[in-house]
Amino acid sequence: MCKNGRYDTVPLPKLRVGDGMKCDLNGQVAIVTGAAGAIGQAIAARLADNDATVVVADIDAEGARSVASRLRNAVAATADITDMSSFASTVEKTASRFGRIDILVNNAGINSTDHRVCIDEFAPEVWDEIVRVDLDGLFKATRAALPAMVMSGNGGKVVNIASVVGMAAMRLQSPFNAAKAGVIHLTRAMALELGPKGILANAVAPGSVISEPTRRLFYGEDGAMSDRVREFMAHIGMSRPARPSEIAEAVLFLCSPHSSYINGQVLAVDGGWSTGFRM
Amino acid sequence: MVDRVQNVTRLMEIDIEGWRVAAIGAETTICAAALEALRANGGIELNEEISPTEADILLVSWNLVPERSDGAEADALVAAAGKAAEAMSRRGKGAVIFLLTAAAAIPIRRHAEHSRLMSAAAAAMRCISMESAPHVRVNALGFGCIGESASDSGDISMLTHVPLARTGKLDEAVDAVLFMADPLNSYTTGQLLPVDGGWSAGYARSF
Repeated sequence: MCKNGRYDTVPLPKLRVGDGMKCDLNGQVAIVTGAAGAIGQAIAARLADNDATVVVADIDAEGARSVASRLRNAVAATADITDMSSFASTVEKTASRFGRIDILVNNAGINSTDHRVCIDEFAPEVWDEIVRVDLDGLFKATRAALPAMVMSGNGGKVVNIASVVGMAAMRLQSPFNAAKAGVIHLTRAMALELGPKGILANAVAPGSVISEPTRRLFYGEDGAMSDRVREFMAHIGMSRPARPSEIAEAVLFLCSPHSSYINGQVLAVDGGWSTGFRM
Repeated sequence: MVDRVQNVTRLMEIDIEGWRVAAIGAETTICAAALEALRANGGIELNEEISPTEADILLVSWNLVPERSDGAEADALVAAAGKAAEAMSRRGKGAVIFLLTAAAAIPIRRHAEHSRLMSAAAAAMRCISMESAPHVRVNALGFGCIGESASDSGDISMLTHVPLARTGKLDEAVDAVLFMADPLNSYTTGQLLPVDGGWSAGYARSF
């Protein structure tokens, strides 16, 4: 695949259906934040496929309802992770209706695509907004959910969706880098503190992810990558973006009882982007 | 060892029907149990007369007990793994899974030789992953204390820094191998995933 030191980009492989891992999540209750988005709904779907009861939580009420309506064992919840009392209400309703909370997937997050500038001119209000949602919001959602998870005595799983830019910084998105690096280290701190209480915390750090709305950004109208995208993809071993389902597969594993000795880890699901320097 | 492997329960399921599986390197309990689990999920184990380059899933097994670490075969093992990954790349699919200890992530005092070997093996894994992308996934697991008294992996002294305050079970190690072998886990490559109860996450003692 390597030609003259460069790498060909590859199309998305044909989607394989029905051959993912099977875990028994029957009886377990999961809250997935940001679940109306592409990655969030893929995560919610994989958890529901494996018999978890899923609370599809999102600030976008209609989006949450739409996703929940397509899944079995799922309910929608309007939730704002930056408002701890609002999220606590979602937690309370979940615990009251289903009797327990076993899994929290902190997926909700934002980034700015139209504000890519150097830090010496980065707008403080944009910085504040990204950190407020991506880092502070993740803390508040976790803080709101933990008492119910700890009180149940069943243990539990927290899976934080970080980003590969929290491990290897990218230019012109300083608050996103900082917030996701914060999420990664917060995950480790959670693991140390919550492990003795039987609650495991881990993070998945996605690389470049394609969804239906962003497909044209990668592949264009004619299905071919532009030179700019090809150059970007040349730094990724897989030479293509991920599907949301590929991120969800890792999240499913970390939510399942089968990862019961994995704690405080950050798994980059990035097609090899962060593996090393590709000349 | 055989009895313990047969006692593994509660494993997750993946679909690798027809995938050819093999292992090279040290004969460890974790590797034997993982091979058994891969067979149980539809994998076909290659017999010893067939080259491991014919495998679709290859376990690259290192000695996981630090005192038994021996670097004599390390270069040969890395070379064999690279050759197998290259063959998989030509065939267009495959997964190589290095079975290491968590010392690949963080070195252990008094186990300098073992730590050096694990760290070097992890670096080799990453290099092989870059060479064999995009169709082959190459990853590593870094086991902490696995088995009673860390009989299968690690050093029992690590346990004082494990937030879960217990050793890992054999099936917990094997499930992680199945995850890395899962064909739908198709965008993870070049990664080291510690399976250590949080030993490598930070400083687990209160002060």
